[in-house]
Order: sequence, then structure tokens, then C-alpha cells
Amino acid sequence: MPADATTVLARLLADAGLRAELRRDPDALARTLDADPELLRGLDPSGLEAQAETLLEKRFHEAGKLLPLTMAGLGDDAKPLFRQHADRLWPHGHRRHAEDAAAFGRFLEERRLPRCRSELNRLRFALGPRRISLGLVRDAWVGGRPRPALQILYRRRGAVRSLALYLGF
Amino acid sequence: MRRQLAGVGYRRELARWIASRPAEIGCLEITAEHFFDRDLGELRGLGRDYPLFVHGLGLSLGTPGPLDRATLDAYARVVAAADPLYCTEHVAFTRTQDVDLGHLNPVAPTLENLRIVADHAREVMDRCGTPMLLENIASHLLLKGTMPETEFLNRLCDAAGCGLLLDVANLYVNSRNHGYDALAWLDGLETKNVAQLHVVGYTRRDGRWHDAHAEPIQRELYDLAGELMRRAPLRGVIVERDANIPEPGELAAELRELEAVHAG
Repeated sequence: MPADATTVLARLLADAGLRAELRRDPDALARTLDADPELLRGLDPSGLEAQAETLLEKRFHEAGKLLPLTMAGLGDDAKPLFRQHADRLWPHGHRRHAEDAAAFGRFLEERRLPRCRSELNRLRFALGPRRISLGLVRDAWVGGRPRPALQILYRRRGAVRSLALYLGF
Repeated sequence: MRRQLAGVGYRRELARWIASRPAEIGCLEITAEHFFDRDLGELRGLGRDYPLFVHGLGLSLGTPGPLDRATLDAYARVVAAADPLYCTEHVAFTRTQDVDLGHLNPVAPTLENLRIVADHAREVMDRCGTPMLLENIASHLLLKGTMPETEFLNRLCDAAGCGLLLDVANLYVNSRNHGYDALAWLDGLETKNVAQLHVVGYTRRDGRWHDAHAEPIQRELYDLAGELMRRAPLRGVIVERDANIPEPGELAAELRELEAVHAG
């Protein structure tokens, strides 16, 4: 029995390589995916590509809400780097945006690329079980600029709160 | 006095304004997923101040097979705490067994998908004990099916015993991207089923129209919303901004304009 249309569509939307194969040879791809060839021949490749791009845009936007300073620091490189990260990973569940952003942070760390450590600390704390966390950071946002500080993260009524005790002069 | 029809989607950036109970806000929509990990006491407080709609993003009603149990449980907890007028979700899929795409994707208007979405909607309503509205989505991908989208939505309401949340921006965006007339589309829809609207400005980028939820409401969208206000027995109209969230004054002006359109 061929794979259902929704499963096939999801695989295409998640995989740029499969979309390229669809444009080259839909019948060959139908055999690869165990899909109905009529279904694949009936898909509009440009619409499919635009839909896939929208999914990426929305992920990038959600990650940007959680990592605004990191994204600002990356400037024009932010979106191409996020695209490299996003092609390899599709987090699932209702915390997927936070997990996506945290994974992008790891992606940047592995490549020693600029990122805001205090922002990533907050995100990782939000995803973890701890009630309080203290740490020294060099880039807490205090007075409109990054400064060395003691970062205190804690939970109150389920929401993550943070304090930065500025250590400079 | 007639209750205000227009309201906003609850966003953290707007919390203080919403808590001040401004006269322009007649109802409130909360996103269920935003409260999955939060204290539901806050939600009960909002429910005392405003009529609520609970809006889901991740139930993935269009995915064949059972609903995700954990997501349904969490959604039902939020609905129970909010005691809303309606709970809502999309005519869409967001995930399959292979992958969670994280956002909304279209289902083809076929009998098989009609059965899948209707069965899932009934299951959600049974679980939550709350009437449900299903929302049309915007999609760059137009899928071929065995019936027009409007017939699919009409039959879905009959089959599931639910109503519709009509997203005006999604309708407009689809009509421009896929080259059809939005008013003609509405003529095919049984608008007696429409109980709620979403309105937000569209975004134009790279030669396409997008539902980025990031722009002020354009005049043509007020006009389209007005057409629906005349045709449908609405309980709420929600301004659905998620990006570039403006100052409360700007949103209040949009709510007043929607009320003016409603008043004719």
C-alpha cells in the first residue's frame, strides 16, 4: 500500500534533496518514497518550494524571538547559518521553537561563531528542570550594552525570570 | 449595551495593556501552546475579564492516525482552565510520524481527508466538552482534491458538528497567490457556520503574498472582514499580530476601526 499523501508531502517539505528529485524525475521519486506517482506529478514544484521556504522563515522568526542578540550579532549571516542548521534538524512537540533555538546555539558553538552566552543560558535554563541557576557571563545586556555580570535565572509561577548583577566599574 | 466584537490575541508584550481592561478589547484569544508549561491561574484571571477563545496550533487534525495524546491532554487542560466560548484549530497538518514541520500545511480537499479531520475534531470536542471552530489556512501550495475548498469546509462542519474560524488574511493571501476572487470564494461558503474571524495585515515579499502576522490591517482586509460581518453570526473578531507587535494605541485603533466596519 503506498504511503499516504500527507506523509509524502511532509517528507518533501522537510527535505530539499527530495524536492530537487521531484523536479528531475517524479516517477523515480514515487518509487523511492513508495508514493502514488499521480500524487507527485500533480504537485506544483514552485508552490512546494515556497511552502518549504515559509516553514523555514517561520522557524527563523521563532528562533529570532528567543535569540535576538545572537541573531543581531550574526547580522546578514544569521539566516544562511540558520538554514544550514535547520536542514539537519526538525524538533518536535510544543517546545520545538525553544529546542530549535537551543540547537542553533549548539550549532554556533561547535563552529565557534558569535553568539550571546547569557541569552543561550536563559534558553537552556527554560528547557531544563532546575528552579534556579547562577553563572558568570561576559555579555549580560545591561544599560543597552553587553557587560560582565552574575546572571541569576529562576522560575516564578512557571515563567523564567532573570537578573544580571553587573560586575564592571 | 452591545458587547464589543473585536479583540486581540494574547501576547506577552500586550499583557499589561490587556490587564488594564481597555474599552476597545471585547474578547481575547489565547494560544493553547503558550500555556502548556505555564501557571493556569493567569488564564483563569483572563477568563474572568474577557470572553475567551482557545486557539490550537499543534493538534495536527489533518494527520492520518490517532491524535498525539500528550498534545491533546495539554490542550484539554488549557481549555478546561479557560472555559472559552470556543476552542479552535486549523484545517491542516503540522506533523507526521516522520517529522514535525512545526507550522501549518494544507490537506487536499478529499473525502478521505474530510473523514480524518472531522473524526479528529469530534474527538477534541468530546474530550474538551467545548464547541469547536476550524480555521482555513494560508498555503503557497494548492493541492488538488475531489471538491472545492469551500465545499470541503461546508461538509466538514456538517460531518464534525463544528463551526468555522475564518481567517480573513489567509483567504486574501490565498486568493492573490492562487488567482481567485475572495468574494466568489465566500459565495461558496455556508457563512452561517462562521463564528469567529482572524484579521491581520498581509506581507508582500518576493512576488508573493504572505501571512506573516506582522503588518497593520490593510483597507481591503477591513472590507473583506466587513463582508463577513454582514454574512456571518460572529461571536468574535481577533486581531492576530505575532511579529512587529505595535504599541497598544495602534492596536486599539484597529479594534475601533473593526467596530466601525461592524456598525456599517
